[in-house]
Amino acid sequence: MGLHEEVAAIRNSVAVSRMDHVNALRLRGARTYPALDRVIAADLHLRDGQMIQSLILDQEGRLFADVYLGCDDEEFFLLAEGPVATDLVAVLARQFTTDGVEIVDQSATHGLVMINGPYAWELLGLLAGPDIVGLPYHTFFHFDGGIGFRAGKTGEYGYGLLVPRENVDGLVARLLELGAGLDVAGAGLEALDQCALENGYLSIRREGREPVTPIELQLQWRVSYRKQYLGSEALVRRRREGPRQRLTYLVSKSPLETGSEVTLEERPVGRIVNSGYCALREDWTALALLDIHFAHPGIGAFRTGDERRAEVRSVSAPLLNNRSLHVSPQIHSYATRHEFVFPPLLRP
Amino acid sequence: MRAACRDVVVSGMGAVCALGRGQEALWKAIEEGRDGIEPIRRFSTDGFRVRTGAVVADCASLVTLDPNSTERLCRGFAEDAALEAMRDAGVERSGALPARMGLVFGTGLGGLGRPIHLLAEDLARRLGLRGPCLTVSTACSSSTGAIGVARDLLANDAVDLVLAGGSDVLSPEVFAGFHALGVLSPAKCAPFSRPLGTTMGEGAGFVVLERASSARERGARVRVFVSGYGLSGDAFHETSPDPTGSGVERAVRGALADAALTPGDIGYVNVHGSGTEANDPSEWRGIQRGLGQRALQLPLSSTKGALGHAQGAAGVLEAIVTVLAMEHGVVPPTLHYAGPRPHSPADPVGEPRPRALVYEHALCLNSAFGGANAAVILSRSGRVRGAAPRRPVNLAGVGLVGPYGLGVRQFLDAGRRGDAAQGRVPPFSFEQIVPTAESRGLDPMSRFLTASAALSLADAGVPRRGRTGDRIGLFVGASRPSPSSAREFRQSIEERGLRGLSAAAFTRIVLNAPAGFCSKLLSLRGPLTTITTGPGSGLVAIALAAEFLSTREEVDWIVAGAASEQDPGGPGDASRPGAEGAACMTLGAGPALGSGAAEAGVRVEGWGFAGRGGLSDAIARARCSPGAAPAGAEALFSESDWVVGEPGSEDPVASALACAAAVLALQEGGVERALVTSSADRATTVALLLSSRGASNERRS
Amino acid sequence: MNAGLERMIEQREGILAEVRHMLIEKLRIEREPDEIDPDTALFGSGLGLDSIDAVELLVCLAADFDVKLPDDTMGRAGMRTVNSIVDLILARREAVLGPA
Repeated sequence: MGLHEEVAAIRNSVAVSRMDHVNALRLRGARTYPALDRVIAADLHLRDGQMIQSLILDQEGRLFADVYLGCDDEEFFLLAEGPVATDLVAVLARQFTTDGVEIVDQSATHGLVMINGPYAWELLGLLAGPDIVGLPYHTFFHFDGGIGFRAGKTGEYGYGLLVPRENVDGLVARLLELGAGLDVAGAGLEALDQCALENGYLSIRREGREPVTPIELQLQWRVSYRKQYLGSEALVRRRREGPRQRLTYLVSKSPLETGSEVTLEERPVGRIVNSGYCALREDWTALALLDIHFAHPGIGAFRTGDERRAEVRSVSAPLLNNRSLHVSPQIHSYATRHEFVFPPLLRP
Repeated sequence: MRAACRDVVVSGMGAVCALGRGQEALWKAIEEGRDGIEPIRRFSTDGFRVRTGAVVADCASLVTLDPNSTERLCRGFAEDAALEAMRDAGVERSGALPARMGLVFGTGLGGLGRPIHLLAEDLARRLGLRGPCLTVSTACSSSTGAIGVARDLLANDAVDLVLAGGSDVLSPEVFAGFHALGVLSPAKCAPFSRPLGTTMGEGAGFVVLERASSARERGARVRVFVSGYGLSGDAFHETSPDPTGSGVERAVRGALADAALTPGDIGYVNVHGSGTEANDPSEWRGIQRGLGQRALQLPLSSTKGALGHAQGAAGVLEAIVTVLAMEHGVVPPTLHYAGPRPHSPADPVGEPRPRALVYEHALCLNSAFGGANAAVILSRSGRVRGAAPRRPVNLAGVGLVGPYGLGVRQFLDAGRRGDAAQGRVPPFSFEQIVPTAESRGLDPMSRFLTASAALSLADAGVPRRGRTGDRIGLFVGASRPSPSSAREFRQSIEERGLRGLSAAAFTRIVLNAPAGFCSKLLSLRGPLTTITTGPGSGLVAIALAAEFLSTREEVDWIVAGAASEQDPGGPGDASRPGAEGAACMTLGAGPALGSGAAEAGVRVEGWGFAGRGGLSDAIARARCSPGAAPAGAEALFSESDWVVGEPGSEDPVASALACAAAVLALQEGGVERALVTSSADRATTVALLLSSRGASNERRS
Repeated sequence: MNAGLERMIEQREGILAEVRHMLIEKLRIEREPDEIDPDTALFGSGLGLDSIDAVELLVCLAADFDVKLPDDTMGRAGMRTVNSIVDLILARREAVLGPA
């Protein structure tokens, strides 16, 4: 299945993805919470059964890992994208030296499968029963076989299933089988990244690699200025100095390439750090780090590409009107979708 | 403590609602499948998308922000229903002493003006009830909770007869509030069907409860037995219920355990069934979790299609309909049912008329904003179960927030009288006390309560991780809602009109809102309630918690106390400076445990309730425990030692501070027995007898 | 620098400041203005507003900015991020006053 078909499945029905690039850790010990509080950038306002989405930074305040942290009774689980498992464990172990926190690396023993789409809740219900359909955002549940949670980076309903590695294949097969009536498809990492780009979710692999802080990447919502943690000093310094760049969303009819320079009135104002083609909009979409003064949506005078001639317009994220916003498990179902008039996916 | 006698019956009922005044009118309408939903004429609904409600016919118009007119109606409904219930029960001929007749009132917002406890007190005076008088205010589950408290007062032998129920008015503010929250149906409320949404209603209902033995002795007509009740908190959100239904599940299980029944015994469920998008599916899930497979075999119906959502009076009115249905050998229908919405009960009785069915036990459920769920089981006949044994209750922790600062040490240093309680609570770091809590949008009263509850749990050494919260409850005494939230609510109407009122502030003016926030932030999912007697509320909450804890297996701890927030005063505010802050005790069940504060555990030896002027009776009851050591030197701790402000001050916290002082004195070892009492002139007088571990540890029976 | 572009940027910055102020004062977001990035999501992740906040936001937008959104999912679709609110306000002002 091509990239655009995979994205279409995520946008219209439901898609299943293996998340081999995500590492799972389990953390236990009486002092785990305060230890995590000094490593995870966000204020850890979470109760049993809840998850929070945040970042682990490095000493220079740059992004090291894109994480979900869940509070599971006496323990915590961490789902991290970015570093390989050994690097992640090494960083945490270094931070936790005096806390006696046990870090269980589950990257080899467990695998993550995610389902995303406006009817992902329906597929989850077929798998795990009707109880699950009401699961609130960023909460999780235990089921016979693993942990299920509600989260995602596509802007559609999204759920994750963390299961023993030997069960991943069977789970994927079961989901594809159950979802036949939902036109379920498999979707790879590139499709997920394109959806993330269209909806304004961080890709740690793309713009996350830039030598900038969460401020430039518009991720301050994921960090705290009320406590000290790994990278907080550098972050506070950058905030005090004032950032010089900011991530901005661009669209164009001409191809946009990661690495290309962006100009405004003949002057270079930034560089594209993430790009992809959006079949729905029939546009090229991109993220660029721009001179902060010009980092606003609604500017049509940007140029890029050969001889700086490709017209580029800055826009507000998200780039589309996700179907999931208008689908309610209480009212809709995939089978009856044609009985309803939904607003179009493209914003005017 | 005497064993709990729980063979309680309903001997009289009275009702006023959109379907008419009186039981007969109500039942006739139910039998004929009529609803009382019509365009609202009592106030203007111009500019609102929804124009309908279920109002009581022939009532005076209401003016926005005019609390007198709303309160007059609230009182009027309540009087009519209460008088009917008392006549129905033949109370005049009962020979019951006025001091042994109590009132437990339920209301969400009362008159939206004066402190709501005054409504109950006025009513009790009018009816000649001189026993304990209190109000349960947990929004839409208030009167269900009131029935439970009334049952406990009988079990405690504080009363021989008690009127339980509630009253609420469909005022312009309430209508606009629910409209702003987007939960009103564009058509008539159609639970489990379409369209989504509820229809607001109003009215009042009362049941007369007494012991089965006393009803038999005086030849009163027994309508139904109240076999048991359960309470729980969702700890989820201010207005949305826990979508997994686990809160409803806990309330159902609590009621079944209290009634010593199994799911298979239940023959019908009268659900909360408000018809909103959020309530119906989560309630159905909770019923399935609580009743298991049995839920799929049962008829369930919601009465709200007929009489609308009567807010605080909903529980008692729906219970009255259930009793009438049981007497007529039918189950009431769910009206306006035009096919199921997803995740609906198997049998919602979606028919135009009641269906013939004979059943022994009915389960009545109500859920409310702030996550307070209540369940009551009504039975056609009682089984003589004998008295229930009581578990020992101990007081394991104290948490204090006040003008003296935070914590026990600050409180003790500030000294006993006056200084300890004057002025405002100094700024404090909420994050330090509850690091896991997101405190956005909390008003000061909620902050004080949550901080003091957290401190008391920590003091008791109660672990709050994971599922332990399912077995920790919260009983709060309060006098007024947060003045800053009340002001925000009023101002939003003054500045933006009813159509633009602040939905957020609306959710915070219910008396149970701080308890709802506290339970959410601390994940306390056990029994949840807020009661008010105005001043003295704190000690009433503590004693009710002891009563509840002593006969329940599914709860390990209850945090009980009171909270208040001072009104700095604004233009037109007739408030007086008074105490602010919160005082919470953590009560546990079982032998006196070592607390975090000291080796000495504090045992709650006994508790007693009485009406105004009956303090000596309350004390006598608190002391009356079989096998107790003879009354020795008791240190006295009275609420009046901690009251600040002028007489007539509404301070609910002082009585809890008296209890805190007693606990601290016992823990320090200077004292072995302590008697904590409310001031003598409270509508409900309470006495609590405490002892340190040196006192008798025998198991009470 | 193009004067028209400068004016547009200034106008946007001004409205951004007003929206941040509203979020902090009326919706009680506990952040400083510069902590609220323009493309931060409002509901779900980002600022984590809920359904009750949505009601308040609609009322504030109507009362303070004369932006009238329907209070159903269509209205929510217009309020995805801080920038999307700025877009709505800009569009409303242009409709009233003509383009800047």
